[in-house]
Amino acid sequence: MSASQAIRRYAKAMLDSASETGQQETRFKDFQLIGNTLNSSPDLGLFLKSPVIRQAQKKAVLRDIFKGKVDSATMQFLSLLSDKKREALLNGIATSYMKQYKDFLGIIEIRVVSSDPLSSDQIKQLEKELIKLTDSKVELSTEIDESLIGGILIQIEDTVIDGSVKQKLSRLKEKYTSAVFE
Amino acid sequence: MSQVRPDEVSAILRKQLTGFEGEADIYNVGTVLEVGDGIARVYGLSKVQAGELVELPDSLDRDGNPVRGMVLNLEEDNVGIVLFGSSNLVMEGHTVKRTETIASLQVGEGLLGRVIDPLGKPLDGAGAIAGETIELPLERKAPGVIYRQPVNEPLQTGIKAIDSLIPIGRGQRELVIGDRQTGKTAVLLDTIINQKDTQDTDTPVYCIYVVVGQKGSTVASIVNTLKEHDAMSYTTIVSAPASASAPMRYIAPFAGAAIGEYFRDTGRHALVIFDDLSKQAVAYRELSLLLKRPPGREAYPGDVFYLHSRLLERAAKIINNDDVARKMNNIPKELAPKVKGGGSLTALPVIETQAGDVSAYIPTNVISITDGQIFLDTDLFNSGIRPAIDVGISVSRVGGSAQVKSMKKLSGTLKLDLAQYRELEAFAKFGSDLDAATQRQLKRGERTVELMKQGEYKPLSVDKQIALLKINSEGLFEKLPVNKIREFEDTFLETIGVKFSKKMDELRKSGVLDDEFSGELVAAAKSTIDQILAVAEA
Repeated sequence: MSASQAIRRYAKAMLDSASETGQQETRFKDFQLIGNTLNSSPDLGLFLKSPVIRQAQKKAVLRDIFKGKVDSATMQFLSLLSDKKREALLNGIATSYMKQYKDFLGIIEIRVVSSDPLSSDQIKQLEKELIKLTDSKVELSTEIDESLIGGILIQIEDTVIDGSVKQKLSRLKEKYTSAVFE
Repeated sequence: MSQVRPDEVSAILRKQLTGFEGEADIYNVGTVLEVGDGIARVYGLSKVQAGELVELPDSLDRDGNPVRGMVLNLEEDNVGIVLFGSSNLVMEGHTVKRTETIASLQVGEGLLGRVIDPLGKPLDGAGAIAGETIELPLERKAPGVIYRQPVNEPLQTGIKAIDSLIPIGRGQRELVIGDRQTGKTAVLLDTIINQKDTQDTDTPVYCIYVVVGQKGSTVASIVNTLKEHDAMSYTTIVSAPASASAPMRYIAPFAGAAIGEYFRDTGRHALVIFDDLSKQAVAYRELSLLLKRPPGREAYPGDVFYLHSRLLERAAKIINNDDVARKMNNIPKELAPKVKGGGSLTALPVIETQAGDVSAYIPTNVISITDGQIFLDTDLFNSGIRPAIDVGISVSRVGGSAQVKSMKKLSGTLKLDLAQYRELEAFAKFGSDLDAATQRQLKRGERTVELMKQGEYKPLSVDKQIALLKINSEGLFEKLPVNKIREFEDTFLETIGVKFSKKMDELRKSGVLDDEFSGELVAAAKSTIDQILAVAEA
């Protein structure tokens, strides 16, 4: 089985078991913590992936780091993962769980990129429009990219709505260089 | 001199600018997960189609153009893309954008006389493709059975051995197969050069030469040869030399077929040469292995037969009925109003064998797909028989019905002569111990083989071929020594070209040699032979 399939299945199992006990939210926070820890410490990721380090050692390290900070069920899951020699998938499972949980709640993550910082009013209005457009709850993350020159770019999953000046200029350039004048 | 008024300019500018403000663009994107060896795996692009072109706006080449790719694999959680540009420019995390066009190229009359890459980009430095062009997909389904008809017009190659013994019809697929250095390219170039005669007729043949995996210098020398013989004006060269990326070499024959289809579907005739398909198969194997498709025999993927069969099926003779032809399957929208019946696309695929091994995987595949093969042999080539066509194992399954009448009649006896000669050849060393009938047979065969020799880039029109074969069938060459036959050919053709220019033109058009003219030809041949013999004795 490919790694990505395994990741999806572990994450789904965690979500299913959490919904039986109504702990999705707690577990979401656990995985958020795990994800953040792994992202902020690349060394930990390398440690878990290393085939040289013994299973028992990896298990002990995970226990030491997360003991008391996460729910007991999550702790059990971490030790199961060690037993199955799948610690390397931990980061992927955390990300996948968060994604699946958001899907379950009907929340769509949307990336908004602009050339200048948006005011809170603008963001609020944008959020309102996007809720109308997607017909579901949205979670905005904003980014600044000066190369856009002006306007905004909105990315909903793999669909991009590009209203940036940069894109318009490149379209204009294309139009002039490819147009046939009679 | 005409002038451009400033208000005209601003009007055009305004027209082009409208819609600039417009709405935001909506497109589909993905992210590069991994890249290497001309392949990228991409996450996202959930709506992408197989065979679609994609663009990587973050990966710019030296001219500032984004790298492009084609989608080949659609998998559960990623998309496999082959890159047309250098994979060094692409990095993990780069954005991939859909273009929403299936791989295609711009085709039009302006392509004639040009050298282009498989995506239609000019490579000859002569600027953009001139005139109106329409976008044709590289991959297109071959015409169905009701839109076809059997071949009935000859495609004259100008090579005596081919036009008489292995005739090719317009719409046929004839394989040219042989080891390296056996004169495959020369045969093909002769064929293109010989189409010059058709350019003044109502049914000109346009040529497309697809170069796959050859040396860059070979491409240059092909262009030069064609230019020298004024053959470039009706020829397009699609170039994917050895230095081109594997995807380019893979799609080059499809590009050639797309250009040929443009002529075929507009009621005209085209000839497409794929030089060579074994290198395309190697390029496809490379891509397939990198995309982790399971390897089969000789490590080729399972669908390598389909790769060639679907390509060569596109060569066809279209039914000579405009109403039926217009309903043809899979006609691109832009081409639809121009469709006419009666066109044809002839394909001459080339396969290079290793040490004459025709039972390797790719040669057997392509032999079984095509309507016959022209086999070029190293031993014949080295013994001075050029073109080195082995007429014994070369066949044309459908071309016979397209042969002109007189040629068909003459080639019957020719085939028999050569077959009998081959059988007796082994006894030739016994010399005078043989009976008179056998000796005569050997003498005749030797001279026929000599007659089939032909210089490079010297194609002969069909009337001249008929005249020579007529003289041979009369047995007049038996008076001449073998080494004088080439001399006779030159003198004789020159003489009759002057003496009977009108009748020769008629013969070329009608293809029928009447008794009166054939008597005159025999008389002229006799006097030429006497002349040569007299000079030799003196």
